[in-house]
Amino acid sequence: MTTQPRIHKTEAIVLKHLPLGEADYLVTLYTPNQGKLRAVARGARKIKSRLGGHLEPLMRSSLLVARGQSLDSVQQAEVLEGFRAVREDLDRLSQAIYMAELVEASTPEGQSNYPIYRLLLETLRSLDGPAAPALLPHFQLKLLGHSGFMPELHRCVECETPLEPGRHRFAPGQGGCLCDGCHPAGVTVLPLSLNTLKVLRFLQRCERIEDAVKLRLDDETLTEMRRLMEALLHYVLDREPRGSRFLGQVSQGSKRGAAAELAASAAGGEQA
Amino acid sequence: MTYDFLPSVAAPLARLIQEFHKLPGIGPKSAQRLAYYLIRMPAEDAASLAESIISVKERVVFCGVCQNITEESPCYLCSHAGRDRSRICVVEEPLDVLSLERTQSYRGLYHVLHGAISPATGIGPENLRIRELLERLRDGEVSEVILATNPSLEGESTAMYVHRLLSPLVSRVTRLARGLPVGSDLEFADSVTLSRALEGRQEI
Repeated sequence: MTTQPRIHKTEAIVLKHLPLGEADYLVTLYTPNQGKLRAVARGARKIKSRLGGHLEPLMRSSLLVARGQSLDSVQQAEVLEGFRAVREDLDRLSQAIYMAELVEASTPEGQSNYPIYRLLLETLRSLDGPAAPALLPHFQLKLLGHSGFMPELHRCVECETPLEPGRHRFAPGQGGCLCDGCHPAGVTVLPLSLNTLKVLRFLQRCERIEDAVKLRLDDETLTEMRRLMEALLHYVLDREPRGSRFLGQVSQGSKRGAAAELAASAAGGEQA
Repeated sequence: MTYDFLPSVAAPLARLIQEFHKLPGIGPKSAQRLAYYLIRMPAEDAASLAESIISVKERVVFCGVCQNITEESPCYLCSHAGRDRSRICVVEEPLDVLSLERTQSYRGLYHVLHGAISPATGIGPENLRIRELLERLRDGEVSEVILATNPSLEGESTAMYVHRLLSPLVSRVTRLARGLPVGSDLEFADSVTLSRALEGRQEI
């Protein structure tokens, strides 16, 4: 039996932190070689902590982690990438929080999955740059793919015949598209336009994130794709990710403008 | 945890142990130790403790203006004549008001949100007292809102969200500066803090 060293070095993207005890954080990390890890960052909530600022969620940091009896603990940390532009913009931040939650929810602890690490890192880097509407659906689709849930977009999931151009439907519970002829009973189906199907196929075979970033999408396709991806993730994770609600609140707010948001919130107040 | 299996523990004592056990950070052993300590305590001290627990639940309310915890609404700070009514400092928790008051360099009013947006734990804007803040800005008396939420991911999200709602209502929305804490070491500062400290540098 090989014994693991007591202290090891790794880099990691911080997925989330939860307050623990008086001044500690319990951080959830995503590492390139060990997958998801949880560790205690002692004293990280103190204002003069040497760890705190280096272990904020959505930072990529270089860490020294000590194995503990029940929980590992972070001994040293240094930020490699802080993704400041993501941090300082509510729309991007809400997307990044949602993405981190998806990784957290869909991966098992201690199981290495380098493609997911790379996907998350590249997506955060792109999010730190100019706006790219296809970034979120690309992330969702690839994450599902790397977790073994890539939806079937070329054949009907019921009869396995290749899809002909026509009116398609998407069945999240069956993990893919249905052709015109198949109507299985008791299955939730969502409409799927030809345009959205094409975009999804493009994102599926897209090897480099740069190609996804360049993609321009109209609002209709984007909305439809968001609905499909969320339905599929809901099915795979067996719950609605919490971050998607906040994402909705933020994107709605920015579309409607703050004045409308205020009116809505005031109206909510009168109802309550 | 019940003491039904230990009939040798007197029932009132068992009940007290169970009550202590409900408190955060109190495990079964600490609960027992506290309960046995109380038994040896002078009767008047124990009565005073019991009475203070009852009165804190009966007499403490949320201030109708700033949402802070207070004995009467509006609270001491909100009704104080010497406070600057054109400024509101928005904080996450009642304890943050204490910290800011300790600085003795702020004379305005406060608003306590009672939390921060945290999608990870399911706390959304609707769980915070944001609507009450918007109500306070209706009459246009306030000229500056200072966002003093924590410089953490949750605090930043909250500040940005609140800022988006407030900007059409107030002429000036500010955020506490971020930089290096007194007595710290540059070597251990993270790059985000350090770059903000550089941007906010001042003439000496």
